[in-house]
Amino acid sequence: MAERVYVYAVAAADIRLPENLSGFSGPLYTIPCGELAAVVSQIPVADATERGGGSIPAASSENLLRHEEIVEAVRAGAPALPARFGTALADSDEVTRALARHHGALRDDLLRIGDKVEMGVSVLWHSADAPAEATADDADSGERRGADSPGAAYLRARQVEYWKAEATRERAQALAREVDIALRPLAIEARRLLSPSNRLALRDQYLLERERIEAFERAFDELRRLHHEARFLLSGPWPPYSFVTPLARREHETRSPGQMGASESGRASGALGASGV
Amino acid sequence: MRESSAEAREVTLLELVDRLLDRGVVLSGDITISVADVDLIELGLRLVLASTERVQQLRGPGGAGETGEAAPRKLAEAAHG
Repeated sequence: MAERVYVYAVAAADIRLPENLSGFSGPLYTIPCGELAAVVSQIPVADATERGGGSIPAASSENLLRHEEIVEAVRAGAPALPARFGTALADSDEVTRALARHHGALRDDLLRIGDKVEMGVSVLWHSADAPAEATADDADSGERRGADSPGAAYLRARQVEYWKAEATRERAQALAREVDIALRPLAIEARRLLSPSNRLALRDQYLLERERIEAFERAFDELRRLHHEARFLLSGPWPPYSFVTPLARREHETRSPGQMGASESGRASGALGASGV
Repeated sequence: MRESSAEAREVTLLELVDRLLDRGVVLSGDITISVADVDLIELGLRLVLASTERVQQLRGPGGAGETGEAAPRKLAEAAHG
């Protein structure tokens, strides 16, 4: 039966996998290359004529959790880099070639973040405070003044919208400074999206030593206690998905922006809009 | 994973989706994800629309004595301190 190799993680070549851990189908095993090894399992190709991800597990809640559980189980025993969901290669040789091609970058990442965790911090505005879209009222008030053409009313509404966005962004920046003071010293690295949407003031990821998790949680609780103007959310500890260095891609492998599951054939069946709260 | 709160599980899933589908090591240039599960998309949208309200309901046991990544408290708004 035709099979493909599904990759869960990249670890050191001498990694010992936890016993009795199986993948989506079949047991976990490693494919070594140099100092590295890919942690994989075989998955059946449902239909040989089907293109691309015909055999890749659907991105269902259940499968995502399964992938995550496996990555965490592997990382409980040894440093490892988490693979993106849906990484399936044709066969062992292809895995070996990929490991060889990116050996230096992967080894560096493994040393840098293999045993680290990441915590996610999101700060949401309370719904009452969230800047509204420019409303009909804004436009109406312009018209009531009588002088405005519909075009001018539209521009006025746009301007109001812009001011609100600017004000929100400034508030988000002020909040971000407070967050930095409280949390940044506990982290090795941090990534931030500032004011990515009307509802979100910021969305941060922090790379931590495992020993710092509790201190980070305490600092977060304190921060949240002091700031009632927004809603603070903490998630983690996670494998350090957000801090993996993107590997250099060959030209034809670049993905179109906004397409989450674009294969080389241009098929993009997974344009999930879920990445931004 | 904690099962005691459906909301907690859903928000955890949103965080999970964000990480697993958009980050992490990509060994192959040919990742095709089949999002057969409409529930996942709906889940995302629902959370986008109602995140604050839903997340508000997440207050609950933070879980004590957790170690490691598999800690049940994947995402929780900490209870009032």
